[in-house]
Amino acid sequence: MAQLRALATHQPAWVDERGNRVLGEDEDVATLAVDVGRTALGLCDLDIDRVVVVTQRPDYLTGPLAEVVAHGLGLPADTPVAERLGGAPAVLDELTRPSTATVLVVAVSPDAPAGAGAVVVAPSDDVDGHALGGAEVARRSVPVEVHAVGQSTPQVYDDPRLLRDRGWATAVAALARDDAEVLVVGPPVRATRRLSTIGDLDPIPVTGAAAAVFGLAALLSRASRSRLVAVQNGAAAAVDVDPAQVPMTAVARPAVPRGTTTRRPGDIPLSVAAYERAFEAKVGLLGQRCGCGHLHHPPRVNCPACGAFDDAVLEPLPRQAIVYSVVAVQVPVPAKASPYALAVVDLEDSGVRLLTHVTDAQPDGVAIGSAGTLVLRKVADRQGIPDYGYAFQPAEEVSA
Amino acid sequence: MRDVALVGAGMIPFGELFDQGIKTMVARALQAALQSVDHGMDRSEIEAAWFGEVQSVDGFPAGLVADACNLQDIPVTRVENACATGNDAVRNAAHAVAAGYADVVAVIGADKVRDTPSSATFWDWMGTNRDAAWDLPLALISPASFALHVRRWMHECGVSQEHLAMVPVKNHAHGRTNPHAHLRFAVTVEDVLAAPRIVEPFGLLDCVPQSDGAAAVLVASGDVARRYTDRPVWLRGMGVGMDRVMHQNKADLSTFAATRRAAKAAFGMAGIDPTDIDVAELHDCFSGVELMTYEDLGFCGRGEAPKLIETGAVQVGGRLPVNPSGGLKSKGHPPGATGVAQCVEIYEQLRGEAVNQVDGARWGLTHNLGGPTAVSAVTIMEATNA
Repeated sequence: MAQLRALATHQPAWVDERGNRVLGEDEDVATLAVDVGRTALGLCDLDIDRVVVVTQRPDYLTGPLAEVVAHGLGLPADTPVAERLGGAPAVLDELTRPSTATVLVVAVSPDAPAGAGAVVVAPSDDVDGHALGGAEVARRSVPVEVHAVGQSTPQVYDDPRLLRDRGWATAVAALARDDAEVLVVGPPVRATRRLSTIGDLDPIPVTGAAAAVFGLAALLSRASRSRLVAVQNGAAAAVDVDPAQVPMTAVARPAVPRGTTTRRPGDIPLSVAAYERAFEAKVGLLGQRCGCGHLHHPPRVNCPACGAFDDAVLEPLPRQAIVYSVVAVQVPVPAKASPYALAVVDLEDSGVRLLTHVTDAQPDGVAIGSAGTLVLRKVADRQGIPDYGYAFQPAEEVSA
Repeated sequence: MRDVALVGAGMIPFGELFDQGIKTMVARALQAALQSVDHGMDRSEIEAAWFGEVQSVDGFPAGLVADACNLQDIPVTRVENACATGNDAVRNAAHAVAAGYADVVAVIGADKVRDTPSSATFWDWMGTNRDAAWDLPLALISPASFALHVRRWMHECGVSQEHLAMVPVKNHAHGRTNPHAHLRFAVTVEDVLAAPRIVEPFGLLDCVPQSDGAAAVLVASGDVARRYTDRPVWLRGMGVGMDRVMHQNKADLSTFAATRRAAKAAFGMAGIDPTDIDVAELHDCFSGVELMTYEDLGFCGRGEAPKLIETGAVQVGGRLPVNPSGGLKSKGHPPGATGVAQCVEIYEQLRGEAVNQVDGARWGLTHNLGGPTAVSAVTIMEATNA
């Protein structure tokens, strides 16, 4: 049985008109996986053998997620990264299978209410972790929601009570235990409220895959054993959750209302050759240290300070930064939502600066001197191909 | 090295010249320059030509000029150095003359911006003028490139939005009387502050228009200059300066290092100080850039540019008129032509023939900045018998 060693949950900053958390234009499954994965990795000191990203709504059938996640997490480039299609039940499956490897399990729910969770699971013989017992699965075919490849939205068979009674309630009845209260996760809370027997928990703010991790985080802190039941259509999985001290962090940015944006039709040209040359340093946020001591970014063939050729190594750049200059672009441009802010930021104690977009804030919410962090974001979509890099996330917004 | 002088200069009016292609524009500009020569010059006396053009249209640039201008028997070379193209074309031509390669050469600058739809202009150009992997995906449009500098300077020197607005007010007032200017209407500070925002701190009226145009000058060695005019205008100092191309690699965004380098070279070659300059044509692609340039050229000290414009010192009638032609903002900015057109203005100023004449002007200066902020060219000229 895999051992839980660290857990993180993450909610994106943006909210829609109804107050639901939504992804920003510069976020996707890959960036969310890196955001929450970094938080989890920061809670424990283990070498990761494998990453699994579980989501019910991936962005690409063929895409760059594996290499973006590996480089974005600062893992060796050959770290296996698996993408798994699934919701909350699939996440519990990943967390309960026996293992001889240390795995980072990431669960991403990209659609509103959006969020992500990550759990580090160590091999079964690890003594410092916490195991989830009582794993069971129930599966009935109740295909109320079916999302076909090539369709932008799922087909939904409009019979909520059928789904609740024959899909979920039947599964909960099969998987519940007498000695534990039940928390049902996956669907919206208002739909499952009556199926959960725990009454005094804050509502789980996400649906889908990530709900499994949010639910786990809530139950680990309770005083006695509970049963977590994850449901999706007619499929369900359940585990026992005993109280445990697992290192945990919940990240939820102060909410930023999604404003109106414009975009000029058209595209920005793309050179995949140029993109490929830059990828490692760009997505890994790596600077180049010359033998003379000078640190610069982006990497180049010769040192800008001493001129030496091929005498440098890559090293991670610091992520804390202060704004040196910032401007807000108001006019519509191709391939980017306006208004947006461009900032040149000083990376803490390094002498290196970066030109970045501002993220997770209104374009006028950042001023010269604002402090913040560099986070991985999708910088642009160019001819349908995503381009990832680092954006400046202010610690707090300034009032305009 | 020999003395070098301008002996003729001319331009076509700048504007959205839908009725003229680039071949028409360059031919007319050279013709205007030839016709300006006091004692006359025939086309056949030109021994070589340089053509400044930033964005190539209608074919291979040097060949197009040789063909359209009937210069089939001489070498023609295209110069491109972003927005510093015009003054750098003059520099290249002048050094060839100074070195003894030729006695009489022509420099033509032109750009046909409006053959591209107005909505596509910026993005097309941006595609080839940004690092494809690092800066292009950030949608680093041209106003943003300059705004990042101006914002930092405003922060360090406590400059207000109103100070920026004074620049287009001044330049439009100058351009109103210039028959070659693209935009010939007055604007007020209120107009500028209320204009739609482009990239903070720039609004629409802080930014150059999209212009077509062409200008030409005739460059002669000191040995032969007086064959063409009793009042040549001497090219005393020329410099081009560079800076790192990416904003994150520039040492200090509150200044334009390229301008400082170009100015140092030009003033050093001319052997004069900034205080000796009587009239200047500076690169006001965006309002704040002109103010920063007063400081970068040494016309005033650090942080003193707002005072210079507040006091009216840089207006025609003041002690150092800047952009009497209307500048890029009012006269227009076809990038390849701009630097050459600045030389045309200073040529006329130093001969007492300018439309917005600065009394007794003896030393004049032209300045370009481009790439987006990684190259600058400065030319310093002296009048004859001033």
